[in-house]
Amino acid sequence: MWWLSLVEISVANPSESDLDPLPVAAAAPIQASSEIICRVLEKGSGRSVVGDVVLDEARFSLDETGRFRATIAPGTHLLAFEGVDHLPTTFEITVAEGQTFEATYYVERWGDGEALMVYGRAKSDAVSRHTFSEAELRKVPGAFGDPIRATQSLPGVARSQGLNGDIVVRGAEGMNTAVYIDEIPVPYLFHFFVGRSVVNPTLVDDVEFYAGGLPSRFGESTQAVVNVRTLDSQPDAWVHGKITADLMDFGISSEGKIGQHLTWQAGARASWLSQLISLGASISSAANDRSSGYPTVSYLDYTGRVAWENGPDRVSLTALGAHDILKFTPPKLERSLYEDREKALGYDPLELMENGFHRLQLRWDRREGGRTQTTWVAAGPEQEKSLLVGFGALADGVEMGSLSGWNVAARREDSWSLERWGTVRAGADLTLQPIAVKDYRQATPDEIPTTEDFRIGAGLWTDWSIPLGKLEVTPGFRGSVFDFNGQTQFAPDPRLSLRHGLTRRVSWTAYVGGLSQMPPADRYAQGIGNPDIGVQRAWQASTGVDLELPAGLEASMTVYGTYMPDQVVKDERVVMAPVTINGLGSSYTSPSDAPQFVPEFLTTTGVSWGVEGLLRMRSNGGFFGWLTFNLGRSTRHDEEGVFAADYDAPFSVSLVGAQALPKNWGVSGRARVTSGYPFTPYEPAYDVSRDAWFPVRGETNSDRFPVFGQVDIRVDKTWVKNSYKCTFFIDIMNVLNIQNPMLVSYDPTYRERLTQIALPIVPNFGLELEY
Amino acid sequence: MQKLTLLSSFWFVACAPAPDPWAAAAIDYVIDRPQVVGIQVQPWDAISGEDVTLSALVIAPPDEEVSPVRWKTCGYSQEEWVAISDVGCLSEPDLVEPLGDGSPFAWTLPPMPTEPCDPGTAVVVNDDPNDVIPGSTAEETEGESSACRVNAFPLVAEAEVNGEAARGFAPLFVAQSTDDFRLFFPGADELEEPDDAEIAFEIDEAEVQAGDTVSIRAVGAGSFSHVFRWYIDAGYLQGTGRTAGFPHEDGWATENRLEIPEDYHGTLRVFVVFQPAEVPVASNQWAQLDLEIP
Repeated sequence: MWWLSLVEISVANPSESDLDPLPVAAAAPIQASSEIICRVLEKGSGRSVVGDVVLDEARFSLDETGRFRATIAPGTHLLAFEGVDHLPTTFEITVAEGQTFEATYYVERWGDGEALMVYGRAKSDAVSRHTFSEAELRKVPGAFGDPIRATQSLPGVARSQGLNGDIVVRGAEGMNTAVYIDEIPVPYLFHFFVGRSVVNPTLVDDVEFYAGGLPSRFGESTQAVVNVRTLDSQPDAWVHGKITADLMDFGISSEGKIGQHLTWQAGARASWLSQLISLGASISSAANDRSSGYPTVSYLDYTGRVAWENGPDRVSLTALGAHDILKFTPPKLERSLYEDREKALGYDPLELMENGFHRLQLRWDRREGGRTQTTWVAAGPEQEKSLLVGFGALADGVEMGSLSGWNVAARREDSWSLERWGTVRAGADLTLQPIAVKDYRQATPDEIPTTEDFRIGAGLWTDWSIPLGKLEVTPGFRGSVFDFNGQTQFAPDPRLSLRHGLTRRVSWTAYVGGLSQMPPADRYAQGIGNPDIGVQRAWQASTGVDLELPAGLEASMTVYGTYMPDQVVKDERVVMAPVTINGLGSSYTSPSDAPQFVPEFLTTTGVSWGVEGLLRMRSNGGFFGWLTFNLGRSTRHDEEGVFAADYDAPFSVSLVGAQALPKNWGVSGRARVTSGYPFTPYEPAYDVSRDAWFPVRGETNSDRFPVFGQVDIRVDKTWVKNSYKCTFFIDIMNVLNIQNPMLVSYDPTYRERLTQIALPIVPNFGLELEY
Repeated sequence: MQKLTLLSSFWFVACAPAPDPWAAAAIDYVIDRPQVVGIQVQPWDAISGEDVTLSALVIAPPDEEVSPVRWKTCGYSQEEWVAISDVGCLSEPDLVEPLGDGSPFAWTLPPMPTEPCDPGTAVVVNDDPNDVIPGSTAEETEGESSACRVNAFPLVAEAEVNGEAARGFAPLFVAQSTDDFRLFFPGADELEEPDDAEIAFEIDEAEVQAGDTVSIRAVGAGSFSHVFRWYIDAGYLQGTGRTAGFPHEDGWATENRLEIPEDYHGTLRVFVVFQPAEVPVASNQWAQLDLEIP
């Protein structure tokens, strides 16, 4: 019956601060009744919405299914919907006498959508906070609709140089940024090479991103933290979800509710890039009448949660994981040879990279009055393997080796709201990591050198946000104990943040604090790393100003400095020796010497400083965008002097803009210009006694790539129906096909540099169906 | 396909074995840049505290002015051993010691710091316990341990031509005494000194013209050579820039065939370099043949 009363609504997307008169939508004539039962759903998905309706000056709250019931006099009435996340909308209805009336109305979500990105520090921590909506971040070109990947366009964030998608912040290394999913520590957040995040975007609720100034609740990081929070929505009884497909992968997600207290959410994604490459290679082989080898990349990820909620308590069981493989497929005639080698080596020589992790988390949240408690434990295996070596092919992670083990983490966190005395938080966390690092480079026919370690990281922390008029002071302290590689160290980290509301539109923030973390296991493993490495420490200080400007503009600027007294940096040296490929049961040594690049890890002092800023226009007239910039340096100091850090970028500018067009068309663009990263040059030397060319290493990071530039564009079109919507998009990365160098290699005599270009123009298109 | 291309290129850069440098060197014989292609130390079994003469062959395109050769060594005065294969030594400013300029260059070897000898301990090369110098264990030397008094250092020769640098190096073995050296190289007495290992050229044709193909035989009086290295101003070497040696009544010989470009006129230089000793010491011998092309 109520299907007869569907209403099409079309309104503009005003900004959050725009309180113009409510738009009025025409309602279909209805039969009069003494009772009216209406339901309000979100247009495009059919989800129930949260809000009130005002009918003849009487206010009714929608129930969890989006319904309300009322008795009204016959005649024409205005029914106004008001909600937080959706457009206020008014319907005109005419009710006839003596009949019960049922109708369903659809309202649109705000153009900004739900707040997705928290940049800086959470508001409760008293330092600056920026929010970016899901709609904004999804439209960032070059991210292929992945809101987490859009973090690369935020202030202080640099592009990763390697293939493993590290998040590089303020000139530090990727390993200095801790990544979490729902606070569960995970080894990586992006699938390597293609850069998709390991969380299905449709399941992302929001992202906490701290470029620095970490609150006391975060340890195990000496620079930045990214915490992806998933699935914190409130599903209704109906099943909703999203199906996405593009050139790279296919994903599906769903959520629903069972009974009054049980909700479920699940999603998975799998790449089909490798199948496309295989198909292309097959076609190429057929055309060339010969079989050739080719590399393929494949990945998958999954997230699922079942939650039971009753009153103040919420208990959830979450499973998440990801798996990545970069594999070389040899020509058909050579495949049997590789199979024999795999048996001899003890590992698959064709799997050039293989990363993965799985986690199962049991969590209990309790919120009662001003008191909140969170307790959880998570466990799962993880692995990392790489056979790639040389010339910085990988910024972080093992080279010619593997790391495997388990990660067991637990956390307890409490918060007390003391009203005029602010908020006190305290907690404890524990991480146990039994791991094994294998060094394939030093393998012999009988043994693969393996370093086993049981890593323990434990922390106790507290902080207190104290309101003192317009000034909010948050002192905190974190004490960590690290036990790894036969050493036990205590790291006391005091932290202090300040926020002062200078005026209604201007606020000042400041932070100073200590941070510490264990080095990654591959950095101290025998053979691969430096066994003398200890706990890494850092001291950070920053101060900034946040401004709210007219016309929907806001701006912020932060000056920062970081001192890392025990920063471990990856370096490499060159030795000339016969190339030996060893493994269990076999060994092959080349007849002649060849340069071999041996990684080594140095303990240095790191210093970074700079200023970063953001100028942002919130959604205004269908346009939104932001401009970020960073000016700064990042250097490393050792006994021999000062050299630029691997991610030292004296300047970077990123401009993002998106414009909504009529008929649900949209266009957006992103332009990035940054300094080229430094690299270590090599010069040739000829060994006259052995007729061999040697690469002689120049000064560390004494040369630099040219300026990096990239322009990305995205065009999308959305068809919106009441219970579903479909979006088609074209996303072109590096649309100008700018040839940005990524790696330097050399000819056999080391006389000529052979620069490897980063991603060329990469077009992608796909469909999203939300129901 | 562009992505496939990228992936493929990355594979070749980071995953596949690097192109064979010997193969690349074999076709890199035309003198189009300055190179240091030969180094000679006389006597090649250098003894700490005695005089040696250092010579280098620097080749450069015709009419280019070559700067005097600069000599350096690496790690000689250090207390620590410097692995001869560790070219990283040359990147360490603290370890590099300038010796002087010129070729030939006379150098008196300063006293070499020695490690305390531990009788019964095998001497290893490059800190590799699997690379034990034969005859250096206590059992083999009947308690003598003089082999640990032999050390090796990278000896570097550098030159510049119009701002473009050329750098060549060879391991310089230095011993405390001749006996030490003979223990290190048991067959050293049978090796020829570079002075005695001269190269002679034999050419089939009395006169050569542009466009001719000329057979050239190089005869070395040394006792051993794996390979002869060829460098020419222009043309094409049918035997490539690396040719194998074969026994000859005067020592070792090798052959090559040079195709002279049809438009070439003037002096066409042919350099041949070889290693007359079986051990990788700085003992190159070289010769230059000038072909006048009318």
